[in-house]
Amino acid sequence: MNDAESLFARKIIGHLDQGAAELRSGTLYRLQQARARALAGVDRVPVSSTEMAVAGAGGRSPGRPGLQLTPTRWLGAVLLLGALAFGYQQWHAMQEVREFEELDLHLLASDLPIDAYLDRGFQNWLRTTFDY
Amino acid sequence: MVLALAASGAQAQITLKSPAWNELSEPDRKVLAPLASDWNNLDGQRKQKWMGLAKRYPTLAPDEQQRIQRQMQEWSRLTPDQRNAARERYKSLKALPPEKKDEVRQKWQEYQSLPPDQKRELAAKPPPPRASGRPPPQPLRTPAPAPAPAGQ
Repeated sequence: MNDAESLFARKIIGHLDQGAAELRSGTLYRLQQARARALAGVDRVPVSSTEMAVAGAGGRSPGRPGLQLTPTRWLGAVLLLGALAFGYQQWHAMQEVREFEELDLHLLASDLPIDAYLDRGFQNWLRTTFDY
Repeated sequence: MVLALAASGAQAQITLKSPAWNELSEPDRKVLAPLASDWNNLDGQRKQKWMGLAKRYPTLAPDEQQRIQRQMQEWSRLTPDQRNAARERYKSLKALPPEKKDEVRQKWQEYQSLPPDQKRELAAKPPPPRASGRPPPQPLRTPAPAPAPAGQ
């Protein structure tokens, strides 16, 4: 800010101060009331998701109430956990399916019959005559 | 609630899609034909496994396809324990070098020609301890296997 701008700014401040000083007491009172109502309204503005995340992480927005655990939120949390558990067990079951699919495909296609893997006599005989 | 979630995990196999035989595609039905009579008794997890196998079936060599077709029904009628035992043995044999695998195949042929009494005697013996000290998987099939419920 150069000198000319500073001078201009000081003139504006002077005019504003003079104007404020000349306000009637009734006008001043109404302005104070309006300011108080405006500040009270700020607390009723819904908390944004970012602010909720901050509050959940241990922080808390100044002048705001904390996250209330209402029954609806509890229900939401339970449903979310249920959905996660369901998703996990589906994923786990599919992993198992893929593992068996891969293994069984090669086992059934192998040139040894199923009996070779299950016959106790062959297993005993193999172990006594073959080093593996 | 945690217990309920854990219990639902144990029932994972029934939550997978379980299509009836007539809901399968024509190519899948053709590949899985040996399982047609047992299909509707299989659970969702087993059906999904067989359907996945059917999808990969066309990529196999003709002789492998024949072997699968031949063994599919027998495999599905094993007990879960027998299937797991066979899988364990398959994995241990699969890890052998190629020349050893050939030797195992040859040994199987030789074993086929043993007299029945000798086979029974071998089957009656307890399984020898493994070199790794790990107990061998159980159970093994004895000469007269009992039919088991259909499975994966």
